[in-house]
Amino acid sequence: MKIQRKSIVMDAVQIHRTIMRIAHEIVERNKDVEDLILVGIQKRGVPLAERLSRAIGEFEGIRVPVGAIDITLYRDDLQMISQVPIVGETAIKGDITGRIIILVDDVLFTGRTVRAALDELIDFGRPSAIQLAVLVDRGHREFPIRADFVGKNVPTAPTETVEVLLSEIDGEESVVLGEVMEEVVQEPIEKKGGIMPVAKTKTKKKAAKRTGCGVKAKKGCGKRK
Amino acid sequence: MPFSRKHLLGLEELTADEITTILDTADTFKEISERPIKKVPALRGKTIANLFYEPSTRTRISFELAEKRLSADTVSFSKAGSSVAKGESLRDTVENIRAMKVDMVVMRHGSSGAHRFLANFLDASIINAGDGQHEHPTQGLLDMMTMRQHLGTLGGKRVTIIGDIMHSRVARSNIWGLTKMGADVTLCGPSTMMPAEVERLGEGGVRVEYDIRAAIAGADAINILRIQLERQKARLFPSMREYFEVFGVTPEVLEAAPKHCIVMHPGPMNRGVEISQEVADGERAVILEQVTNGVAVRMAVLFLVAGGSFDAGTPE
Repeated sequence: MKIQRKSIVMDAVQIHRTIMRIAHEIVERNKDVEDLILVGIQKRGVPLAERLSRAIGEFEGIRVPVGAIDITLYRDDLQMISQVPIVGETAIKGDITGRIIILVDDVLFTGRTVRAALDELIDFGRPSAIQLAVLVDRGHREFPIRADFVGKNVPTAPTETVEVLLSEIDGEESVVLGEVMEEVVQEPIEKKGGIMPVAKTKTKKKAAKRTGCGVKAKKGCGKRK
Repeated sequence: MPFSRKHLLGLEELTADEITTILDTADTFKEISERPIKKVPALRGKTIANLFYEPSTRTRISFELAEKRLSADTVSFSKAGSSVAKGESLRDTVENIRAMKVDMVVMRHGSSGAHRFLANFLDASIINAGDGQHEHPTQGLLDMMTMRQHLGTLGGKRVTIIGDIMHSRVARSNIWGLTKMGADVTLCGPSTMMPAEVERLGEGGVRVEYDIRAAIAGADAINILRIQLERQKARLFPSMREYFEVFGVTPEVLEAAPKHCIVMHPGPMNRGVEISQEVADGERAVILEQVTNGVAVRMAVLFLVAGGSFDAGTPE
């Protein structure tokens, strides 16, 4: 998949200010900062959660614990994707029961990632509340999910992409709007994956069954004697 | 590096990148067994049949736990009390299980190559849990995972495998896996249990040493193989006591190895034959860690082999 970059939606200064604002909003909404746990969704949610924790620490003097969650094993399309992604680290220290979880991700799109993260979090305990903070909300929800804290609403077309680049992972700092480029070679690849192997396995199965039955019948007769 | 194999038949056919992918995935899966709810839904709806034609405690329990922690549905079968005892052929048994729509088959079999035979005509994924004297790939992987956790990396590390090399599938999987990852492998054991031209095994070959102290000098890890007591009847060694005298790993022998050297054993152990009581319970032994890692490695293998479609071309 080739992506052509179109425009920069946020630069480093804007990202920093947005994180500071969200940090204040989180504290404003949740009076007991001691109850909070920030959980970043792998990959880029994790550094964002760490930045929020640092920001809250600056003006509240309390370091909110940060966890990481990898939702790969909870995806609803695991059987559909062509190659299994590398599974990242999930690290949630301590009991989350009774705590307020702030789930942090970079981009909110269909809501499927958040759905998976909610399922996974609930397997770790029973938090008193889960709230969602995202840097960018790009719309096109497929589930009844909304964010509690939004950095920036970016209206997009479904074919567009939103890339969040963070210095911790990407070495640069910006939010980029792009467009997926149509690839000419895509069609023959699909054919190869779809039609060819099916035909192959079908003939294999038939051949196997035929010989299999033959052997079985002979054996059965032999035994009865 | 993405993983796109349908089966795991042995480590001989894997690349170093593929082994690394399995070990990396296993490292992250280890944490799942520490959770309050030790289960993730990754293989929900998949059915796995565990066929054990040879006795096994550890491997079988380990596979079953791995499957259950990934939410797969499992059926298990062992030779006793099954239709195998009635004389059904391997192929018929597996064809029948396949007809019940099983997605994956985990199998241990006494014949080397039994898995490859099945892979030729079955469209289910096949995972080798040990075949004859050929390979035991998940054991090789969990050994490497344990070494990597203690030694940081496998490249350039020195590993000595001691015991019955000839009859050991664990040794073969270790040799293939370790040499592919760039480790130096030394074999040690009675010459009656050393196969001909064993030096040419693995990628780039291995070293053979008949003196145990020379074999473990400079070793970063020692992997001690189980001596099967029935081998004594075949007169491959005179007595268990003599084996212990010459090849048994004792604290005195271990002094020949560097201080950081770890001691591994695939189990079940014969204390007082290939390993002394003190070494088995000593601080260098990582034998129970191997067992813990075994579940994680098997989860990783099941997940990687089951996940996605195998013919798809380009990753996203």
